[in-house]
Amino acid sequence: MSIAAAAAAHRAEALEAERAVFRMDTVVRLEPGVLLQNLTKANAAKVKRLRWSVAEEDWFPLTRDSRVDRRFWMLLQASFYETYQRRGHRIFPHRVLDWVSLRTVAGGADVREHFAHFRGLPRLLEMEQNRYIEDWVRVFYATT
Amino acid sequence: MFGGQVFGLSRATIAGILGVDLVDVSLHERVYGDADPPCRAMIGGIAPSHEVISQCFHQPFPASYARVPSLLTPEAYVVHMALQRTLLLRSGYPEGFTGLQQLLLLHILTDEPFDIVDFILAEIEDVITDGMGVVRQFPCAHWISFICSMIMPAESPISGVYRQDEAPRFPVYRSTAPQDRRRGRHADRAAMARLSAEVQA
Repeated sequence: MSIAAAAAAHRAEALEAERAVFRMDTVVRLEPGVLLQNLTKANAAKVKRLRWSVAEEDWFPLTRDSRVDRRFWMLLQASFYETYQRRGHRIFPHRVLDWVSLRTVAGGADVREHFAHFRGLPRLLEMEQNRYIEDWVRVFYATT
Repeated sequence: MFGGQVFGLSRATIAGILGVDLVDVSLHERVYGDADPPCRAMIGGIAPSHEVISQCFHQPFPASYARVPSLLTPEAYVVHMALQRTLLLRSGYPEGFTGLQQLLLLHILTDEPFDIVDFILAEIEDVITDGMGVVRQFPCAHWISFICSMIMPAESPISGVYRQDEAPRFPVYRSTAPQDRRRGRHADRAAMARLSAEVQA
């Protein structure tokens, strides 16, 4: 196999691995025998001690822990992810704004004008960016 | 972390992706000082003075009146309710009107700049640092997803997921008028009843 073909095959394999990881939905894949921490009873002080008051290199060590699937850098992050799932944390049901109906309800006042004084804010609250991928958000909250 | 990679995102990068300006005004800092998160659980904080916030309410609005959403002017009420479902997420306890909610409303109505990125990050920090005993909902899912989609190369199969039509979307907010009888709770209505018919009109 030529170098170019090998590189292409490697790239295809990597892409398939990425797809596989993001098809996993809520299941954390671990190496056999590896256990996650049960954080269901962690209060705010403990959560902060584990992931807030720590150095960046403690939350993202030099090398990734290969015992856990690629969405996570280490077991603790996967533990937070799983605990959020177990505790029933859900996505907040945001709404997007329809300026015309807001204006009507506000008795004709141009509500959008207030928001428009802040560059980008009306667009942020409109339909354009209202889609979300639930698992991306869950991983974000578990790893950030 | 996203797509198996660690990304370091500065506030400037986030502002660039979301298309907003960075401003040296943190509303969370003004209300909660330099307190560590989670700030939301703290009682109080510094609310705007009566002198400045009273412009948001039906007049006359003496200092002895409770600052409840039902007493806001129709325009202020609509903006406040819209903010509750978009930027400063609060569900339940509709008669509550925290210092942070008051300050945000005031800034929007008076066109006074504040840092939107700081505001969003502070709300996210609050959720992350809260204990597991409190089941909190994850805010800002659409902005987080948008940022993730922007930091991955366009050809990545991961970011392709975001562009598919099947990706869930948040619905449009349907606002109600302050006098709508389907809205609010008893405390809200009681506050309205305390006002004279002339003020309510």
